[in-house]
Amino acid sequence: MNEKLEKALKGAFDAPPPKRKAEFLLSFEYPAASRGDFFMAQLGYIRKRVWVMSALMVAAVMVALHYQGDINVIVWVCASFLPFFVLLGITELAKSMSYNMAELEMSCRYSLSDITLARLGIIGAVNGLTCIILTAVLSRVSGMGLFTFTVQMFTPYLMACCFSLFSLNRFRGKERLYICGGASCFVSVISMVVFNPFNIVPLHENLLFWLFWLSLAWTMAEAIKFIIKPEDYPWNLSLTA
Amino acid sequence: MELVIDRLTKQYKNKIAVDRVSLSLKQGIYGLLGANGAGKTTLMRMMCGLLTPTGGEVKFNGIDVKQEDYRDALGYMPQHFGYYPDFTAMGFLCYMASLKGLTKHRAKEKSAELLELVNLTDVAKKKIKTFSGGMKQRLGIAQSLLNNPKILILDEPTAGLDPKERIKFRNLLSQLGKNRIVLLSTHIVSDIEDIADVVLIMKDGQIIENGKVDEIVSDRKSLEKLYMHHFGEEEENA
Repeated sequence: MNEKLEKALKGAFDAPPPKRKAEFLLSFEYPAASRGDFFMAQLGYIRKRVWVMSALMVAAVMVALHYQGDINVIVWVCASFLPFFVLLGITELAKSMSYNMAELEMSCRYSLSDITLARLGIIGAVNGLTCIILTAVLSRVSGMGLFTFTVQMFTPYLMACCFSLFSLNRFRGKERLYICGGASCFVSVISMVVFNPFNIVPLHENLLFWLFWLSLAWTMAEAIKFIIKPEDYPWNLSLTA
Repeated sequence: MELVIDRLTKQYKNKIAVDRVSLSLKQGIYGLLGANGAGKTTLMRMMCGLLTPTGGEVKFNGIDVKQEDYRDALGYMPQHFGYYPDFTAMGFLCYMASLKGLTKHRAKEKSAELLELVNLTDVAKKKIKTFSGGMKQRLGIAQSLLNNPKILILDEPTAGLDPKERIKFRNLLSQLGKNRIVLLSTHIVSDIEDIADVVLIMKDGQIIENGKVDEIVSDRKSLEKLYMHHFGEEEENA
């Protein structure tokens, strides 16, 4: 068509309003985000304090080592401090329920189970990375065997993990976070008093090893339960009663 | 487009919250009326896959409620919902969009579009904790539309809205109901009287009335009178 004529026609007549626009838009397939995109998006929603605490922990160990502290004391202090790391992770994992977002999140394409799994993966990776750095640095300096060092360092961490996940799986509402807080403090104090390098409390030599394996198995069992459970929260009837 | 609910039941110990409800919903607006405790929220939660039924099933075009594809077609606004404290309106919508499988770019685009629709563009960057009840409610409606859902389930969506917002919301719903299944629960008769294609009345976990307004009203003259006939005593006691 002649360009001039086309322009003249456009100027002379208004375009008719679109028909069935809404139906068309509804049927239009927009590219969907992949599971990988979803996982990456979740990274941005992890609170900054998780990253900051990990960085601070590593930095504190480096500073302590630099000033030639007693390596056994550094391991002991680190091990006693790690339960609070667990608490930090747990508050992040439980934030959907704490802030009443669970119901909304469960109705989405990537449901609460996916979100929990993503958060667990991210927090696990952050904690894991921190632990690997601490292990790499401290186990070499301490001269302990790798397994002995792992047991010494991470038994309180695993104990706090299993107690906290146990509480998340069984209690409701904000009180479970207080229970997790209490559990972390309890394990930390136990670690400070009982597992210290000065042998204040005489312990059976294999006790720590048994505690390590028991806590590891229990943590794994509770973690599996935590991931698959959000399907059917016992919504209370108080909303409708 | 068909949402089939077949003998859906939910029992909590000795209380039957939803009792063998069977429905077939096609596109249009369905108003679910019932007094507090009638089982509306439980029914809606089962329709969204949030609660596992004691018996029965829910399927949309043959897709079971437990499947990801079902949730992909679903928009839901619960009666009570929260938000993370540091969220702005825009941040909240982008977060919800990421859970609904929208790409980052599309999420921003769609969030801006919906904020405009619910009249919250001016406060898009403000924290939700500074919002009034009505603003939060409008934000809840916006998030339910992010994935352009084919099934839209709204639990007491008009709670907290002022009369002007209520009218706007009704108009919006009329538009939305043209090409999807919309189910909204309320105990305010006037919310659905003019816009619902079908009214469902629920009592003691069962659907006791199901039909177009003029069909079910018959000699009771108005929906409100019919509602009072069923729930008069309960409302007075409440």
